[in-house]
This record gives sequence, structure tokens and C-alpha cells, in this order.
Amino acid sequence: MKIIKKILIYIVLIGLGLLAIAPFVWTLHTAFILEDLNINKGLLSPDKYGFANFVYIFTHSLVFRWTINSIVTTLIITVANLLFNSMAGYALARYEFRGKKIIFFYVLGTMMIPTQIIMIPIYLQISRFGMVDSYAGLIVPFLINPFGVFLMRQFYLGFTKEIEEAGKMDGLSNLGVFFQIALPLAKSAILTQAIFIFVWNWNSFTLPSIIVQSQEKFTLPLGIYQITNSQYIASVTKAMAATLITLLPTIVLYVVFQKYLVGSHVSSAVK
Amino acid sequence: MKKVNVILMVLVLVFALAACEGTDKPITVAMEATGEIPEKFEEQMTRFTEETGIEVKIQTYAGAENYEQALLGQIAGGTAPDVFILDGGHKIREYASEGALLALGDILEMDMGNFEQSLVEAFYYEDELYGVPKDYNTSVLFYHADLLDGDVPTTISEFETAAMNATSGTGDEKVYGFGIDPKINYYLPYIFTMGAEILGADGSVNEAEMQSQEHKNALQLLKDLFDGGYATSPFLSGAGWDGEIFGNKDVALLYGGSWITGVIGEGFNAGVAELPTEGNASSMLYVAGWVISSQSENPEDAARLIEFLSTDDELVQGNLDGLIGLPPTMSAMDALIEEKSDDPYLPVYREVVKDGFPFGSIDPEFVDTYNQALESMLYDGVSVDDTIAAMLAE
Amino acid sequence: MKKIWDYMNKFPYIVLLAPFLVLSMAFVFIPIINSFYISFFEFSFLNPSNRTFVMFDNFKNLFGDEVFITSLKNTALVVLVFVPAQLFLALLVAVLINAKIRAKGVFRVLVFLPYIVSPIAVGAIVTQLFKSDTPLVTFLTNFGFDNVTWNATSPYAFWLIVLLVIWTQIGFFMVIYNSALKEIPEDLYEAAKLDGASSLQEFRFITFPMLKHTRFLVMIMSMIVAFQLFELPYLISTIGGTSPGTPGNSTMTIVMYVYTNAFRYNNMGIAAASGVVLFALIFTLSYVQNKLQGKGD
Repeated sequence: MKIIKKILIYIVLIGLGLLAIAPFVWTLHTAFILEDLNINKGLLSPDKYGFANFVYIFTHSLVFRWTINSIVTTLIITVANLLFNSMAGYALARYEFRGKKIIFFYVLGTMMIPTQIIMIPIYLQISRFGMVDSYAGLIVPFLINPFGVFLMRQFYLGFTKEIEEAGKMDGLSNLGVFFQIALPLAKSAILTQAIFIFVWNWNSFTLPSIIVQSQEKFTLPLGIYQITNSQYIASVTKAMAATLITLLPTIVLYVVFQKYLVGSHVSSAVK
Repeated sequence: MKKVNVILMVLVLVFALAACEGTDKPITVAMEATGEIPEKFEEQMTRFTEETGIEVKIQTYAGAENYEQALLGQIAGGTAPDVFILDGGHKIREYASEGALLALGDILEMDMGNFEQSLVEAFYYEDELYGVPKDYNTSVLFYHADLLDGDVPTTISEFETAAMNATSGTGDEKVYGFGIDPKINYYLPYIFTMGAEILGADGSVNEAEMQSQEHKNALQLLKDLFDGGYATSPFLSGAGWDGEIFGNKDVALLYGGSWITGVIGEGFNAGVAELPTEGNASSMLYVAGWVISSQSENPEDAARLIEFLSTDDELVQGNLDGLIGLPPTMSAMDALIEEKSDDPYLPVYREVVKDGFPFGSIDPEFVDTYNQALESMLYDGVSVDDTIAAMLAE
Repeated sequence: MKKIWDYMNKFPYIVLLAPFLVLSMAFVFIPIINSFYISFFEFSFLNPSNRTFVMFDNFKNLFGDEVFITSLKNTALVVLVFVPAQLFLALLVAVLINAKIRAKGVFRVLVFLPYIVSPIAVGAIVTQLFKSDTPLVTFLTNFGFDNVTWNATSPYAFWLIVLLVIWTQIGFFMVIYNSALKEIPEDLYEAAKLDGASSLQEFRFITFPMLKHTRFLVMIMSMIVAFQLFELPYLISTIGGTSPGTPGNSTMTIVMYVYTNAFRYNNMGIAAASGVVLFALIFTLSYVQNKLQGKGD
């Protein structure tokens, strides 16, 4: 590659990178400020910083319990999503059957309704199943996601048929082809799905906030919101400390997995 | 023979169970609970159970919006909590008119006369009482004595002079004479005291009063102070809320909610005073109350809970624990003043609450329209007449 | 057992679609129908049985409400800018990072960061940066912008939010493009190099066409995201307690309108009606997209 091109690319990307990191840096900085009144005053003298916010969060709440709640629910949800969404996406991409188009538009359609409108009706459904204020209520309604289905469908549309034919010739049944060939080879798409499903559910606030009523069942975002907002004033410094705590797993996950978003190079597998 | 015995046994069991049902079921209380409230409230409920033997199940929600959304879902689904909190005024009317609340007149066994009447009025709908005030907050004039050029103003004209005189400095060093978050929430008392009765007790908008000279004068006063550089708002100063500009000593006078006392730190030569008046004294009230759901299967127990929470001991303790704002009963307020004898603000609140207007009475849509118009007047240079026209447009 | 397995293999699509459909029906479809139903009534959750059938009145009132029309206009503008931005900018970023440079991982994480950082943080820092008399704003006056507090002046507030939304969402679409880019077989590029193709030609004849299915995904998703924009404008316009949509209603989006009507003003019927309108809009546009590009099936 020509040197100049490379340099240009670096410049653009570094510029973008700096821009991107700005709110994160601000969050980091604010989280260590002790007094809310000092927030937007730039760099302060060292005595105005401290770990007090973090200490407050860890001592005044069920943070560990909430973190575990979040981890368990999000993991279960993510794994289920990966499986169910991929199954549905594959079916929509690969088979011909009556009603396929309708189902596809149904999938798209369910994404087009903003949650705010159906919030209370969803709550009512959860209530009818007796799952209010339970872990089931936090998990079951979220085991599938139309975006995941859409993503996998588009992926499988571009998937080469040859390898499936090979599988069939080797005696695999239809479902066998899916579980033993199509699914394993969709690693990059599945990982992409995994990242978003995880992030969305980890940060999910709106629905869980009305489903759950007992402190011990709160997920991390709920609990954090509760302890950093006192009745009349929100403590921004504590909120930022809390944001960091909540942010960490997501960042770690992404850093680790973005390396693996490597294509599985299906074509080479055919060889 | 055997069969008959079995049937009899079953019948007896059924009757026995039916008799037991209802006496041991816990009542549910729902509230928005942030900060340390969940902990403290649990302690309070433990005290209640010890005293009455009634079990309580607490439902806490992380924020105000979620709390109300969950309430709607629960009421619609038939699983409403027995007792919950609602803002006085508009909300009470809304819920009561849809039949979601239980009328409390027959079931409560306490003296409602002990409550500040201005607070209780917010809980009536069609002459029936539907809620009991749980606490209140009000609005007062905050001042920094060392920034003022003289005494704390007691009339509107004194107020205007004081604001102008206290303004000094430029740029970062500037101190404004007056600060306020320009919303109907905080400016309405000025409007009332200057003689414009733009709202009725039930929150209805009086168009004639809206267009009166008194209303124009009130708005003009605010506009002149801002335009002349004598007043600022948190928005203009880049602060998150009005407490911040008072805490940072950016203003000499500030009219705001009684919770701002939290920013008055050590060594501040500051204080609170009643609103400077021209006619009738006025203040803003923020009052929430306990209500009983019309779906409740234990209304008696629920009523006992509310009575418990309204006792002097619990109100004072609640204030000290940060569970509630200011106690809504006269006896509890007296007790609190005795308890916190070094608190100079409480007596002011006690005075000011009597002439208060419950903010909750105002229609939320009107609040938004009014506030937007007010902001345009101050930040975009819209004239007073045009502002009033915008406020009346629906 | 074998018989069941055989049956399942005859109709594999039923088995594969079942879990999704069952869960979706129970927790998404029924609530949606519920909402649509509500839009024809004067309704409150406080007393669902006490509803009054008003047929199209809610819709009539909706279109007579100036605030709603403004929200429609605002949202349409957002979509018009957001969709192309993500279609091309995100692609550009993904391609750039994919080029033979070092520290790809670092850049990917950096670009993805704004996506997962809390909107509260974004709002807070941005309102500070864009106040009047700050270095940034003063610098921008050189380009003809006024020296104002951006989030308090229209139309600056609106465009600021558009910018922010594009920037926070770029990470999302970049990741999607990235995983698709990785699927393109290396041999295609190698062959092109042997034929003496330039990078631009590589992009035009290999990369771009190979991303056909992904581009459709990005198009639809970006449209949905833009139409459903809520959190950032709601958070930023209510900083300091001002009413949603401040200044004026210039930052009011359709979903903000739904939310304020549903939960601030308790007009459930109108809120549901606006939801129906929004759905109709998005659905029609997606359908048209699908037809136009001959994609989908």
C-alpha cells in the first residue's frame, strides 16, 4: 500500500478515535470527582478526587447481587437468542414454503413498533403468565429478537449452497445440515449477533424497571439508577461511577470478541 | 357412611380455610424509592408490623416514570398494590375519576383537621377524600446575606431593587442579584402575589386573568430582570439545577424549592425567607399522598398503615431518615421543630405552607406549554404579549 | 422417536421457526395488537373496561395537533440524513479499518465505544462543549455558525442531535459491515490484484456488490433506528428540567410525542394512534425498499 494512503487512513481513524473516546474520558474523569458541584470545571486540584463514589456504590447497595442477576439473565438470554434467532433466520433464507414472505415481514414489522408504546401491554402479558417480579419475567420475554433473525437471514442468503449439498450427500437430514454445518460455519454472524444481544440486554432498563419490584431481583442498570438518584437530585458523579461499573463487562466482552469476528471463509471450507 | 364422612370432612376443611383467608394476607405497598429510602422504609414497616401484626410486602421502583408505568400495568391487570403514593391534584383527580381509588372518608379513623388544609385540599375529588398527604415541599426565597446590599426584601418593589443592587462583577466573577429556574413551578407564587389569579384551585386556567394587566406586570418584571442582566437561570449559567447556582454563590437571591437547603454548606451566611408579597402571600406546594386502591382486598389493614404513617413519631422519624420531606400535620411539624431546634428554615416553611398552591393541580400539558412560552420570552426575546398568546394557544 | 424426527425433517422450517414464533407471538405480537386496538378508543389503563369507542377520532386529533406534525417533520429529516450516513459512512469506516494498517482492534474498539457509553454521559459532555463562548463554538463561528448555546437554540439543537445520533450509532453499523467484509473470500481480491485493479476498482467491483445483503440489512435497520429515535433527544432536551422537545418543539421526535402523551398527559388513545401511524410509515417505506431493490427473497 502506498505510504501516503496509509498515513491518510491513520489520520482519519485517529481523529475519529479521539472523538469517539471523548465521552468515555469524561465519564472516567467525572466518576472520580467527589463533589457534584465541581463537575464541569475542568481539571481540579488532586484533593478533589477520590474513590468515594465507588465506595458508596459498593457499600450502600446489593451491587454484587445485582451484578450476578445481570450476568445470569443476560447469559441465558444471549445463548437462547443465538440459537433461536439463527434457526429462524436460516429457515427464512433457505427454505421455500407458503407464508415465508409474510413471516419475514412479520419479523421486520415487530421491530418497527417502538417499545414505549407496547410497554404496558407487554407487562400485562407477563402478568398474565404470572411472571411479574420474577427472574422468569426478566428472561422469558427476551429469549428471541427479530434483529437477530434478520441478521442471520441476510447472512444465510449469501451462504454458498455447495457445502450443504455435500452434507446432504453424506447422509445428513435437513435439520442435521443446519445444526452440524450451517450453524457452526456462521461464526462471524453469530458473534456479531452475540455482541448486540448482550449489550442490549445488559443495558436494558425500561422493561425490567416495571417488571421487577423487589430489590434483590434488580439487574445492574436498575439498581445503579436507584442508588444514584436521590429523591430530588441526581448525583451525576455517582451516576458516572455507576456507569463505569456497568460499562466494564461490555467493553471487556467486545475487546475480547472483536478479534474473532473473522470470517469463516466458507469458500475454503468447500475445498 | 364413609362417603358422607369424607364429604363432611372436606366441607369442614373448606370452611376452615375460608375463614382463615384474608386475615393473614400481607398488604402491599408500592412506591418510587431511590437512594437510601428502601432501607429506611423497610425499617419503618418493621415497626408497623411489630405494632399491629399486619404484614407488609414492599414494592419499590427505581424511578418516577417506571413507578407510574408499573402502576398502570398493575391496575389494568387487576394486581394493584393495596397502598401506593400519588401526587396531589391532577393525578388524584385522574385516578379517582376512573374509579381506581377507594374513598377514604368512612375507613380512616384519624383527625384530618390536624393536617395543613392547603395540603389536604389536593386530595379531594367531587367532595370525597381519596388520599392522605404523606409529606410536602414548598418554595421559599433563598438569600446570601453577605451578597445582599441591605435587608432581605419583603415587598415586590424591595425585591426588584435588591436584585438590581446585588448584581455586580462581570464574566466569571459576576454575581447576579436573582436566580430562578424560570418555570411555572417556581414563578407562579410571584404571579399570584402580584394579583393575577391565572389558575383556579382545581387547576383550571382563567383566560381573563391570563390576559390581565397584573399577569403582564408579573411577566414583565421577570423579563426586565433577565434582560437587564440582573437575573440568571441554571440554563443560562450552564448549571444542572437551581441549587447549583445558589451553592456556587452565583446569585444573591434565589426562589426555589425547599430542598435546596441541602446545598447551604458550612460557613454560608445564608437563609430562607417568605416570598416578597404585594397582595396575598403565596407559595408553591409539592405534595404527594397515600392512597388505597379500589381493588384492595384489605382496605382496613391498608387504612391502619396510613394512619400509622401519619403519626407524629413516624413523621418526625421519616423526616430524619430522609423518607419524607416536610411533615404534613401541624402536630408533627411542631414536634419536628422542637426536635431540630437549630434549624432556622422549618418555621418559615410552616408559615409558607398555609398559602400554598399545589403544583400537582396544574394540568401537565399546560405546564409544558407555559414553561416553553416562558423560556422563549427570556431566551429568545419574545414579547410579553406574544408570550401570553402562546401560553393560551392549545 | 424416529417417526417424530422424520416428520420434523420433512418440515424443517416449522421446527426452526417455532421457538421464535411462539415467544414472539406471546410477548410481542399480542401487545402490538393490544396497542392497535387501543388506538380506536378513548382509553386509560386505570379502567380498561371503561373505554369509549371513538373510531378515527384519535387519528383526526393527531393530525390536527401541530406538535405531532412537527414531530413527523423532524423525524423524517432525521431519517433522510441518518440512513445514507450509516449506509456509506459506516461502510467507509469499516473498510478503512479493514485495510492493511496496524492496531485494527484498537480502532474498532474506539469507534464502538460511543455506542455503549451511556447517553447521559454523551448528553452531559456535549451540552458543556457546545455552550456559547466555548473554544469549540468560537472555532465554529469561522464557518458561519452563530455564537450560541447549541442545545438551546433552534435549529442548532436539532442538528446537534442528528450529529450525535449518527456518531453514536456508527459503531453498530460498522460492526455489521465488518463481519460481512470478513466473509468476502480473499481469492477474489488476489485475482483482482493480478489483473492490476486499483483499490477503488476493488471496492466497486468486489466489495460493494458482495455486500448486497448486508446493505439491505443496514438500510432497513438504520431506517428503523432513525424513525424510533427517542433517548438522546429526550435526555438532552430535558437537561435542567426543560420540557421534552426544547427549544420549542424542534427536537421532538415521533416516539417522544408518543411517550409524552402516554405518560405525561395520560392520553393513551392518542399515543397508541401515533404508534400506529409510525408503524405504517416504517412498514410502507421498508416494503418499497424491498421492491425497489429486488432484494429480500
